[in-house]
Amino acid sequence: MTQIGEVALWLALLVAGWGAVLGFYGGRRGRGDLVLSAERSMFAVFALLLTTSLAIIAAFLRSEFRYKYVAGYSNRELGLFYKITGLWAGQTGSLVFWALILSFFGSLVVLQNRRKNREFMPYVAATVLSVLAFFMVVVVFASNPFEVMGFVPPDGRGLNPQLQNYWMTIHPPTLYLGFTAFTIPFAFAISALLSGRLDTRWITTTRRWTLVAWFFLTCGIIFGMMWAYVELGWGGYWFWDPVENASLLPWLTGTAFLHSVMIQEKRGMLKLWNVLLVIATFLLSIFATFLTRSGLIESVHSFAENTTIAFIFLGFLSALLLASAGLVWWRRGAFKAESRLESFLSREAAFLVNNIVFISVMFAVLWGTTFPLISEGFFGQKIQVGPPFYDRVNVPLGLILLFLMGVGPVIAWRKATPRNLKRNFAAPLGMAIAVGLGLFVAGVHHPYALLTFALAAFTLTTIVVEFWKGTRARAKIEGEIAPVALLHLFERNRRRYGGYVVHAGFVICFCGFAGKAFNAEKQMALRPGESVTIASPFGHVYELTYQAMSWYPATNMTKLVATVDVKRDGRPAGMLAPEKRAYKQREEVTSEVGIRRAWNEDLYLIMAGVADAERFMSGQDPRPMATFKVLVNPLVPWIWLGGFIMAMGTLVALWPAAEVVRVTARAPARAPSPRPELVGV
Amino acid sequence: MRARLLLVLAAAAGLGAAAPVWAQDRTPATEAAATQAIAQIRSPYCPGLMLEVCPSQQAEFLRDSIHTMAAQGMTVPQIVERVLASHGEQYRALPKRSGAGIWAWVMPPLVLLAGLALVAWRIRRLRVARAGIPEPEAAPLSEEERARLEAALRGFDREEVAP
Repeated sequence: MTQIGEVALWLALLVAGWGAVLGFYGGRRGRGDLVLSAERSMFAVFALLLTTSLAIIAAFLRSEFRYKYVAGYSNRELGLFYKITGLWAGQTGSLVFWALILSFFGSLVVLQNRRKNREFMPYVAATVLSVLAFFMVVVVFASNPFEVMGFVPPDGRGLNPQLQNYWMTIHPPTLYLGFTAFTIPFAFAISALLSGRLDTRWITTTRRWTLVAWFFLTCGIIFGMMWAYVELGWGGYWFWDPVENASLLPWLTGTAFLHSVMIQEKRGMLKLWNVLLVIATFLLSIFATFLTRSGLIESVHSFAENTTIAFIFLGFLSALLLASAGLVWWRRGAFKAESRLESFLSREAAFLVNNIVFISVMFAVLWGTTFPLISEGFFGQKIQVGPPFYDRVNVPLGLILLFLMGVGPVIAWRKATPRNLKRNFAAPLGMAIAVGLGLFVAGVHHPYALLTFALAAFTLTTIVVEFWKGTRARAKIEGEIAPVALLHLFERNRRRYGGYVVHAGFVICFCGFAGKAFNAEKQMALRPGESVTIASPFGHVYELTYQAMSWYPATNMTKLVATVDVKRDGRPAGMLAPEKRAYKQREEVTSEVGIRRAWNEDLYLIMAGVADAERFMSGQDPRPMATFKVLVNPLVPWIWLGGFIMAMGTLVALWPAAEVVRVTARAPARAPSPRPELVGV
Repeated sequence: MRARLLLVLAAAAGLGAAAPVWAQDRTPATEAAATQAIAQIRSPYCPGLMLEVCPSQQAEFLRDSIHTMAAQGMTVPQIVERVLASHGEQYRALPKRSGAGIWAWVMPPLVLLAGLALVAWRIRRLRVARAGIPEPEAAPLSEEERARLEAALRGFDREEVAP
């Protein structure tokens, strides 16, 4: 099976290279037969990469430790589920997985467009296949999953303990789905540049793909935060680590793109800007993949093993950058706007400022991430940039975004009149002032937190008013009851109202981030029977009583578990069981935190250490002293809730319109399939 | 493996025994200063991690010594400089606002300002270009035209898209 997988990998490289060349050549010459071959190459590459991936999984399931990759990320006692996820546990397999997803998306695009967008498809197929060929080259020549060791070890090294977590099994695939899906809008942008068709069609064609990419990237980032929160035992969810930052960069430009495309669709403006944004988003996705693997910047998440790969990626990034810049320059005459920006008080300007802020955040994150390298290169001094830098720079920018999120969707196009401004913003402004004052009186004096809650009230009010106005108008015109009118409102314009739901989720996330300003923390050494109390910023008091300690061997690990009773204002509120785990094969001990979740806060318990552990484990001291770190993390659950709402809103926006479904249903079962036609360039 | 677990937990035993984290001479103000100082230092003992979250025993001792420094009346910058003087400048998490570090702070706001200036310049240029062109005179609308306009605007509102 593994030999078949290795052969399939080589064949995938050859077929991807073949398809890429034919796609570009066939598109240029207007040769339908060559383009068809390029498109079919996509299906072949997908089938071949699927074979390779299954072969890698089979090697994991059969514990074939002669393969360096399998021996490095598995061991005999590793659970079946984690053996399957071994495909993306390390650098080598994750590159194959990246390529597999891209080939799947590429095949979907070819299928979707077999009877439309024919002038784009040669270059779309060729671009996707070129990217695939690059990944195949890296895998085959620099990071081969089928590399055999000179001996067969009796057992493998095991999977990194921190990866043995359910969020970690889903976080990388969703992130890769997001990164790779952004290749499709990029391929269409390149295709639009090559074919010279830079009107809105490439944007409307890729609108859903952009949303798909954004959906997966958002979910991937949120899942990563959840993983960090439960697994790393810091009590935090985001640490501005270079690898975390790398995943955020394409998300920021992608979000800016989602907004700016609307200006091109509506007003025919920002054509060049949109092309640049989509190129930047794709390049930043590749940069994220490069950063994770290069080892150039110190990161706790990095799985760099081979710096050769870093240089190959850097070469690819440079080539992409040069080729994209060359194409944009070549077509510079085709970006002429169809209308003009007329006023700062307009939706176009609000969206444009929103874009500038998104790009500024992206730049700040990129600048901070690469500043150690930049400072070393230019000043001979490696200056590190840590989380407090990002917080200080990005929090004000985030607040501007929160404000614009309320302004952008309701301000008038072209030029807002004083009447329009008063009508749309009087209620939200009133609500923001009321919430701000109310919270200040209630004792919330942290300036950024206060501003966040006030702006959140402003933005949420604009959203609620939009829904209310739309529902009321529909109920009046159509004679529907409010819930039905609301449902039909969504059906009528899924993109608009799905977008509002996404905004609402984002606002809730922001409130969750602001909760950090009120974190409470205590550390205490306790004997069984002793208690520690900690006050919540919401006014109640938790009392934690250390009851007992136990230890036992479990599958693939040894566990040490503390049992801690929790009381809230004197009333029983459950039990927490923080753990220390020592995994077999890996010289690592990890912490598993105990979390008591409520709608407004988490009680987060870390077992920092155990005194007299040897005497305890040998049975001499059944009541060991342990050190606990207790945190009350206010509003953290809102981050997960906000993320969920954002995902739901994106799904609403993505859902096909009812009209399209009806048309599809009426289509003849076997419609004649015309030969693909090409528009020569 | 049990031996490994014991080794780690034995190391943590000192942590458990030490644990005088909340000594009597510390006030909320000194604790807040210590927390601020800790939040500006990377851990010398956990590569890639900040001192505030590094789980190692040495990091715990360093945090405790920072709390002691704060209790002795040292300010946040004094504590940070003292720690970096003994451990190395590479553990500074917040770049200095002088020397090469200034570039870390200057560039992000510059990009934002440059972007906003570009938008302002484009709008201003358009206004200047339009200044010489007289606005077309609008004739008063009839009732029928007004009704059609209102209907069209309502339709426009319904059709328009949001992010």
